[in-house]
Amino acid sequence: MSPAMGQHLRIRAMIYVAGEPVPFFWPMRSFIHHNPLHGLEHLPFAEAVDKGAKLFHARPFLPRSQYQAYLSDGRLDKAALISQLQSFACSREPLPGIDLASWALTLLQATEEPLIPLHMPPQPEQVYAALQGQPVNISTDALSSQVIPQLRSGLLKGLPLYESLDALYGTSIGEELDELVIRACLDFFDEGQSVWVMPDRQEGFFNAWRKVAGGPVQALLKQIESSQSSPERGLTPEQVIDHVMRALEVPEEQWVDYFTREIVHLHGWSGYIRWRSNSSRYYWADRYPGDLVDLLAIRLTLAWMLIRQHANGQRPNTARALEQLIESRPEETYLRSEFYSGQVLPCMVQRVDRCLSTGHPQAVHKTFHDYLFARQSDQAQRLAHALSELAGKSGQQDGFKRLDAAGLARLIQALTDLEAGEGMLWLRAMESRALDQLLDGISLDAAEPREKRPFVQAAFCIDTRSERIRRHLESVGDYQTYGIAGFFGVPVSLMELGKGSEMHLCPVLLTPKNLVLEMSSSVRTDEAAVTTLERAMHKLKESVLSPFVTVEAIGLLFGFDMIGKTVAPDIYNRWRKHLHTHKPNTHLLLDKLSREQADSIVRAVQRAVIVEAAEQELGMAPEAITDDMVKELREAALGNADWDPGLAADMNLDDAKLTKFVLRLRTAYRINTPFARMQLEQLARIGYSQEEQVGFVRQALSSIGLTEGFSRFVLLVGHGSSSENNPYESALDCGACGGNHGLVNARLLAQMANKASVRRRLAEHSIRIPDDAWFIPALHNTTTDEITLHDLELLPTSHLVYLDRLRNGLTSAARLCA
Amino acid sequence: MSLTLYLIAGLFLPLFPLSMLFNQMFARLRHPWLRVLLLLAWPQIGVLLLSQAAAPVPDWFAGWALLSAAFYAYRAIALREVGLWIGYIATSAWALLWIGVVEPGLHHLLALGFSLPLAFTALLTGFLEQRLGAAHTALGGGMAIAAPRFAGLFVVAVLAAVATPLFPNFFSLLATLLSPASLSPLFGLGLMLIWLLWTWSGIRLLQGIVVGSPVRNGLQDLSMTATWVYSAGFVGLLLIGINMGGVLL
Repeated sequence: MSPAMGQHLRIRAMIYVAGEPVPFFWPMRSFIHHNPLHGLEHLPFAEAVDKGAKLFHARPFLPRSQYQAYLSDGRLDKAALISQLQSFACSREPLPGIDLASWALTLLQATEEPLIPLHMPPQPEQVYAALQGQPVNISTDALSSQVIPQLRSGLLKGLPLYESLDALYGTSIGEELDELVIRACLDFFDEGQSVWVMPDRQEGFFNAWRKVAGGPVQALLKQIESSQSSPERGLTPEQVIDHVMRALEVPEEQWVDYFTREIVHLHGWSGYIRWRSNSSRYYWADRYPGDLVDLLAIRLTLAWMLIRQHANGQRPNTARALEQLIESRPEETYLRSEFYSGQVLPCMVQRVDRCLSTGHPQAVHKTFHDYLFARQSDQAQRLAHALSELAGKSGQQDGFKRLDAAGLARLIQALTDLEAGEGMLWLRAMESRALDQLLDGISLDAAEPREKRPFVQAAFCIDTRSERIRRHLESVGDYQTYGIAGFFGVPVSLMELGKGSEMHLCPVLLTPKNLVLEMSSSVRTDEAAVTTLERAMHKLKESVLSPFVTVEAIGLLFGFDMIGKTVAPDIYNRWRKHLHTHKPNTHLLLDKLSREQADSIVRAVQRAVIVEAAEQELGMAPEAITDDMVKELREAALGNADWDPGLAADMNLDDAKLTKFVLRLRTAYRINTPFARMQLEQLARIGYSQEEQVGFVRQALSSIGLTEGFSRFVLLVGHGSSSENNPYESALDCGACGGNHGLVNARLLAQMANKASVRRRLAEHSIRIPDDAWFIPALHNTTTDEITLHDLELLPTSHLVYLDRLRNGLTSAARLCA
Repeated sequence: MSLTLYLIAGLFLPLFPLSMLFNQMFARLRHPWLRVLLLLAWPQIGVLLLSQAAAPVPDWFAGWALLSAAFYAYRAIALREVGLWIGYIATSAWALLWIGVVEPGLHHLLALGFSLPLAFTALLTGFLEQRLGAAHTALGGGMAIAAPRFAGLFVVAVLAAVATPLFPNFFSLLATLLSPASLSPLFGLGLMLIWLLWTWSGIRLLQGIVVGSPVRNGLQDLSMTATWVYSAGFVGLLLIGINMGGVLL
């Protein structure tokens, strides 16, 4: 292995490790809830939260005032809080005259803001002097010795250089960089939404971006390329990363941390890229590959360019130069970091501003010392005052007054430790209350035996949005509801009617192996006028020039739409619904195909393709193409037999043209044996075997405890939502169905459970579903709380008389939710 | 003798570098009401002095005034402290009183028109200084979240200070623009540029104070009573402005 290859692999490995804390992020059409701490699950919870907060710039706990409000509302277990505080007090050395648990409780209950400043807190002896009413003795020389280590740890360790520069000069390189990277990501990861797409995407993220990047970036990349030992081989993203990191003079032992900070800057995109590059059989990823290495190469190149532009020869543009700045001008650097952090002492803000503007060394030196003195003195006085107040509130003034300097230092340290970990204390107290409420609500008594079975049993998704309608449904009549995962335990890949791609309807972590086709027996009708008009509108919007005139020409129409939706949404939407093409009733191909059926389907498809090809290529009328012709053409294309000499004449072609047509059928229309074999393999994925169906129904019913006493109606209620112009629409749909509606899964399970053969096999497992029990799929629209029943055409006639009652019950429950 | 009088007036209707006196004084005064007093009284002294002069103001004073106004308007863009910004905008505005010299009675009104919105802004800024210790963008923005009532009023105050239409200083600026001295395209363009610079600096200030996430927690917002009082004050300013427009134009 060459040294260069070794370095490439090292960089790849480092980036792999650096990207581990970033959880996967699925595409927006599967926009489901995910655990932001997923990548940190190996850590204890408190540590993971702490690290996650730092990485993702998050606030891990609520403000203290919010917890205090919860405490007064009774949403927090005070006894649990006190018990934790007592444990905390017991773990510390006792302080004479001080009840630490009581102090801690008073601090958490009666003080809204944290007591101890996190940043350079005052020394206990200074606080002691302030408490005694003595002048606070502050040695700014001693404090200034703390400044360099503090600046080094704050600005150098694992922090991207531009973040440090932003913190010291008030620039916004980070924001600028994020915008540029987002633009690159939007261009590359487009999935067919754009009309003008980024060229050469098949070459990978970095290479495609490189070709369209602006002049300054090109110049930088050329510079990197010319510095390589063999520039003729082209530039790889690893080489770019290596070069930029060395140019920025970041020590190699800090690279992993540095990469992590860079990756988490846009953790949504990074998580998506991680998911995309790890997912197998994802069409867009296979076609246009891109991974975190590409992302980092782009990000680092852009960052380097921006740093150089902003540095302009006057500011540090490498980590080494920044380190030297800290060493050589710590006072100015400290004042800068204070000033641009927003935490600068208000009474000195103008002076610091002025001295940083002039940059005069003597003014900086004097301002620095005065600033430190003022800051420490102010903090010591504030803390002394706050501690006195706290002592008064906790009724321990006497004990507090008797504390000596050492005792006060221990008390301050204890309170510092308490505030550092208070988030977990509040959280545990809240969990304790939640646990109590849950346990109080659980009855261990056996349910009273029912005289008769319920009118309806309904299984809903365990989503919180289903809770309300379940309660209301149970209150309006003899309904019994169950909670189940919204995909009803049936992972499926659906080929929807009229669509050419598969949709995974299951939790995003699963990859379904079974494919179900949605078919319709209805006659194909023309599109409704409004649907056509809408499609035309979208085409106009996609064009580059047409939006300029479209807005003026027909923009007013949207006004009517807006007024209708705002003033009378119900009536208007109902009216609009009529204008659209209705989706016909469909069937789901549930059962596995036999070999004969699969062969027959392939043959049928091939025949249809040949007819289409003859129409398109030869301009033949459909009625002129006979079954015999198609059969002969098919056999010829597959190479099974030669065609009849009379075929060319029948088709009004000469032999050469016919030969050419057959060849075209083989190549362009893929009527050939290998492709037919592949089609057969694909068809083998369609549907579920009998065993699978029995297994799914058994698993679903057993998991919710519904194994006997089946009602006449068993509703399987999937859920979904309706919204307009909402890119995050899938976030409102069923997470267990990969951010889609749950109806298809409900239909599948219902279809399986209604099959007599499945029921017979279930009876062998002691699940006896009576003949009059019927599973009906339904969709709960969580936007309107409307429940719509589906596949009613399959309902036995004996059940029709009860349908009105069922519908009334569902409508009542929906109304009660309003 | 008149020239000496004009130079003394140049301290009160500030012309650079005589303007430094006012700005030094304004920066040292921390009490909002004293600032209000200074903002209202200072230009009136200048106008009074001008009215005492026997000879007409030399033409080159108008050029000097325009350059002074432009200089302070430009410098205001870089300012981050609200008090100083008010001082600079006041200096820039009052310098224009050399250009828009009208009859003595109206000249006082013209000066008052420039001062009134700034006085209101100074009064409101007192709230921020009282709560935070200073009114500086380096103390972190996010007032729209931390103190929404104050933030709303502050936006109106800054808009008023930069001569947004219907506020008194807008009509003062318009009267200046329509005065004989401004009829030359150079002066007209200069005045428009100065107005643009005021607005630019005001927006930068709003970005620094109002927009963003609050850095300091626990800031107490303006009371409802104070909010109503200030709101009524701004409505009053608008009414004064409309009335003033009728008198001046």
